[in-house]
Amino acid sequence: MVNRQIFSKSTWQQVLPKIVLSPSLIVVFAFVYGFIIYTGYLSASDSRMMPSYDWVGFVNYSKLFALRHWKIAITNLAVFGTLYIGICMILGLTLAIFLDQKIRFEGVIRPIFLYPMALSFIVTGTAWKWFLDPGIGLETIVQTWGFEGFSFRWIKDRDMAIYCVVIAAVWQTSGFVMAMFLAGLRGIDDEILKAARIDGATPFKLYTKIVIPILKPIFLSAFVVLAHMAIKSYDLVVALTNGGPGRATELPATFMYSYTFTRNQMGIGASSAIIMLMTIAAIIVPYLYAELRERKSD
Amino acid sequence: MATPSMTSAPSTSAIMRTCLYVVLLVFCLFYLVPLYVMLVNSFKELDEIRGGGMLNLPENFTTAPWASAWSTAQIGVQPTGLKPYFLNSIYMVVPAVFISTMIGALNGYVLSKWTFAYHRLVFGLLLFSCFIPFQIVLIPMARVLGTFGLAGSTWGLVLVHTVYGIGFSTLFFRNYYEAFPTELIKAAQLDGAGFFQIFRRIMLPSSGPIIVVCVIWQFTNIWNDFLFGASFTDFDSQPITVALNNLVSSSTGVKEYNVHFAGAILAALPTLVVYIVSGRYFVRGLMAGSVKG
Amino acid sequence: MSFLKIANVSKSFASTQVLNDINIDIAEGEFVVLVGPSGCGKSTLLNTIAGLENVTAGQIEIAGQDVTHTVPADRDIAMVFQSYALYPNMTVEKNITFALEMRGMSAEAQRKACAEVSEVLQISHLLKRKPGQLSGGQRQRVAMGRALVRNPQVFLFDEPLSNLDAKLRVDMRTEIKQLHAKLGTTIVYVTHDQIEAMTLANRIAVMNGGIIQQLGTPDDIYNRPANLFVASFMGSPSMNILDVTLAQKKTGVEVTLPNGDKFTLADSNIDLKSLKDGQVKMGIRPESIMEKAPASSKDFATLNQLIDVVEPSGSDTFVIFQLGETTMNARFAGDSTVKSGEKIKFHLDLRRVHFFDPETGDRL
Repeated sequence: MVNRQIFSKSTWQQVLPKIVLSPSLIVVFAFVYGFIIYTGYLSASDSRMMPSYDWVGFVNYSKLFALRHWKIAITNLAVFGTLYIGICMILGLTLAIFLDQKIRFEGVIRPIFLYPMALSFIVTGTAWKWFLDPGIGLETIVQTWGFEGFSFRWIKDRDMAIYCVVIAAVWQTSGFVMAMFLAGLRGIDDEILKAARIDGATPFKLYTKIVIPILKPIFLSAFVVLAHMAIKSYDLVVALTNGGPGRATELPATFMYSYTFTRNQMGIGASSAIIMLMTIAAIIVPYLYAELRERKSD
Repeated sequence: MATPSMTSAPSTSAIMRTCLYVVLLVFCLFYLVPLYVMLVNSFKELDEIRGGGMLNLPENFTTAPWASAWSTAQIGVQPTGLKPYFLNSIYMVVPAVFISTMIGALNGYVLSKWTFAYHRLVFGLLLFSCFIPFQIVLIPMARVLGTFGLAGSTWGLVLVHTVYGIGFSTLFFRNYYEAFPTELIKAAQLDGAGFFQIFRRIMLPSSGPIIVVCVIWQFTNIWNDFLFGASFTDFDSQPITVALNNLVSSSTGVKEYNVHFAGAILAALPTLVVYIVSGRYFVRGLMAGSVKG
Repeated sequence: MSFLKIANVSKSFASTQVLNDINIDIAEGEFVVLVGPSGCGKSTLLNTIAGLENVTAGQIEIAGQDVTHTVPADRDIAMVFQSYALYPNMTVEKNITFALEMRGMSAEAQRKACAEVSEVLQISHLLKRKPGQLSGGQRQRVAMGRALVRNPQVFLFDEPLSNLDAKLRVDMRTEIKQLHAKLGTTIVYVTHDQIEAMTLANRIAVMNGGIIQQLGTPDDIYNRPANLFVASFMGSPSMNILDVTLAQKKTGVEVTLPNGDKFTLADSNIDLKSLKDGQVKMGIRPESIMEKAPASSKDFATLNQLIDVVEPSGSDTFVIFQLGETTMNARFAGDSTVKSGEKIKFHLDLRRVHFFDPETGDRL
């Protein structure tokens, strides 16, 4: 009798953690994985304004890739993504190295580089929208300085507007990339650098041959973070250009939203969401797998 | 000679160092200009902005744009200002942050100290949910909220943000508790403490820093969210980001830049204050949330 | 009558067997030390006694109660951990009384119990501090206090001294021994330090690969090791192991050493008659190889060898030399004046040689 009581107490203690975890699991499985399956199903249905469950196979996908609108969106994503990731990395690393030279006011400069990360993309978009606006912003400012011929109207230019999105996005996140690299630099074992110094490495060689190779994992992390942010980019475009002029700054995220909710092409919207998910998964899943496995070996 | 370390490059001449400072200063300006522009122009009259000189300090200092942005500006169809939407955001963010942090703490505790077969897979699946493009859940979520009568309500947004915040909050706590000595848990078990007693008496009292990190992270993310706010609310329940966007992008009437800037600062203020007050924890959260995926 | 009974206990994680059919009967008041190299399963065994890990098979009894499936808190045991595992957020006093509080003891009784224990351990002046403000030795005392205050049936110690510096470790070792003498509580103590095992234990269980290699008194373990593993694990420097050939002769057993030297074993604590001819492993401890032969030399075999290295350590002088392929270690007196490169006579104490089966490693 006594034994049985004790036994049940022991089992209870073993089951309790799972009971505590299970609501989260159920919710996440339903709201993430269930929803993914649901959206996946919709992407193969003839849903328009409302979800429909009539199976049409891959018709939406072939329609999607035939749309000029979608081609613009993915071309823009390629341009935006490449520049955004590239510039953020180069700028982030450069600023981190500069800041790591015993800079007197580092405690002031670092927060200035990083604060945009605390802002909403809507705020960033608003600020840059008017700052880059030819009527009142940069163009006017430079002209009033005496450069009458100065022209800067990228944000109104179909070919150049996407670069405005890059500028604002880089402004917002490059400080964060800088912080990642700076943390990496500070984490390098000082003795390695002393050894390199004694071996006669010049400051330039020290960085190119020793420091940057050591920072390799940070490049990977920064890439993963930036890539997934680029693919998810939505708010900034909405606030800065709202996809315009025309469709010049449409990205997959804005495409999905407008096809699903304003153009009543839910099937196509869903298929574009699935493409976005698969792109992100292709980057994130191997990364998470590697990260979680690494800890296993500890 | 001073202690040699990488940060004191010996051959860096004075010119090089000057260049270094100049470059850093230029970038400081780059990062500060948008904030400066928003700030100075929010205190100007509209004519002054239209006349150029966006970088100049206000000639006729006025707080009218702020008053307008807060309480009278036209948002959508009603001249309510951003105030009700600011409050909406607060009603949304407080419960969502509280609930997702609590759940994350418990999940992290289980996933680090009460592990079971496949706990890594479970953690990975939770974590992946942070990275999905949320476009993928918009359609079904809208239907679920509709079914439960939560569409267009602040509570609906609380639910959404809690659900999609669990991944990150679990990540924070799991990684923090992972470094927490397991022998402490064993000792407490021997001392007769059960699952919840160990959590409350041993784990939570030592979790101060990570709670701060998690709360700041969730607060910033949820406050700054636009996609969910735009998708699942109606005019009465919009969060401030959506209201700000409506204010700025409304195509009717004159463009009141000064009001837009004041509104943008209002929308940015809570997260900026949090950043200024506890920047250290903010950075830690960014690192924990991304470097350790 | 055994007080703590470990019967046929096995434990495996996934495909690896960590404990393999462990049987130990421990009497009330006994001090048993589990010793072995890291990964031998000794800590896992201790954890299964504590109930912190479940057994795959077998049974554990404490004071006549089957506790195999009992939660740790209800086994009436206390444990001292290697890292001390003091709760960082609680004061020393709270650390000590936490278990009492969990058992619903009144605040007054808690205070009294804590006062008594801290008196014994001389930590009364530390009660209001947090663990972070204590030195290693003080933390160790608090960890012991936390165990003592429970007045449990069994104390479990998991390498409690390995985080202390050398001098403190020796002092605490003595204190633990005194404490055991005073309280008389049953103790199971895990360590990888053979000196700790030898000095503290009533009985030692030497473990390797999840199996108990030998369970016996320190004297048994040291002087009559059950197999090659125990022989070479216990003792520092470890026992010299040589490949030798045995041949039964009229006068006794003739032993041929790797270098071809022969000697005859006539009188020994081993049953010489039972030894079969052929290859075996011979073990001899460094201290059984002497510089000066005592008067009766029939108990000694003499070897003429070149000294390779001399390592004086103060109290002893260790002399290293080659015997065929085997590197031998001898322990001479501290005042020995031998030099490396010298050729000297080594005297092997024939009463103290051990023979092991070359296949199984078991003692012959």
